Amino acid sequence: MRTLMWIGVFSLFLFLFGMFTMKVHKPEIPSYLKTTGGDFQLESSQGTIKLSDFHGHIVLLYFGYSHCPDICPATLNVMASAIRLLQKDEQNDVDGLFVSLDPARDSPDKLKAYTAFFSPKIIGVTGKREQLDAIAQQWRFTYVTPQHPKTTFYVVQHPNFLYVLNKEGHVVALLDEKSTPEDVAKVVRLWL
Amino acid sequence: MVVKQGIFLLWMIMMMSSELQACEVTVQHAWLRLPPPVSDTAAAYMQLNNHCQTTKQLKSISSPQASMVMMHHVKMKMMQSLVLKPQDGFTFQPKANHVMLMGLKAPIHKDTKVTLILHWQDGHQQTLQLEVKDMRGESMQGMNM
Repeated sequence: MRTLMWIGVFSLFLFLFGMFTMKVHKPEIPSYLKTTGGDFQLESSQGTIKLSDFHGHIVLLYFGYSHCPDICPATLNVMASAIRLLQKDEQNDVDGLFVSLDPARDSPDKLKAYTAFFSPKIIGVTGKREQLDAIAQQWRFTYVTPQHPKTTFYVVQHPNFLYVLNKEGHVVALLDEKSTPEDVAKVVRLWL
Repeated sequence: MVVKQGIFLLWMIMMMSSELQACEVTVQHAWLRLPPPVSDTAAAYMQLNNHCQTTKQLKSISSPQASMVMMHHVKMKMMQSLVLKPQDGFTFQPKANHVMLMGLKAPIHKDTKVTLILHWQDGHQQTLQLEVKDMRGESMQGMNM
């Protein structure tokens, strides 16, 4: 009986220790992500925003454009739903960032109205083509926005990755269009 | 007797040809994703099935509510047309092939209907009334048809 009690106490200790270390020690960042990303500065409706302004918060980052009818709204829905799945205090430490690769049609004010449709936690930003080109190189993706389109009805080729950044601004996970809000929330919780 | 048989045969051929022409591709689960009010583009989804005995070719889609409608592959490559052989099916669905409405003439609201007209190679026009769904808060599993 006494032995059983000690086994129980020891198991409880191991469980609590495990929970504690999981919270303190974050998972390892995959090596292929260590050279992806970096700070940038773009325009929001509230003025210039740096990615480093979000240090201390988990950031969900997506590159798209507001005229994108399918994958962008679907991903922003996932982003918004994932944030809503978190507890209130957890939500305070998470932000969504939507970077438009189509500055000719997406002004910062338009992006504000666009992202607000999905969640007030998502901020829309954009910048000059040169800034966006530099970000694409730094963040290892390609995109194609027509330079001199014949009509306003053009499409932009853009990445479909949802980047998860830790509180230090490092990319820690790369999710794609198949990810569910539950998947995203689970990854976010690992890094809170 | 021969004349009667001839008339009957002719009648049969006419009936069969009109049946072939009248046969329509079935469209199910047709809906449109509610776009943000500031957006003038939207995506529509549907499932097409050709239960007819002839190949059907969808040349284009139009809508009185949009300046332009295009069929897109998953990687945003435009589809020139869609060929459905007898018993073939094709699905436009979220995060995959979709119908893109560009230049919406007025903001689209939830619980309204959007009209799409399918223009088939044989000249037939098929009019659809799409339900508008607000997908905010839906899980992605729920988005697949």
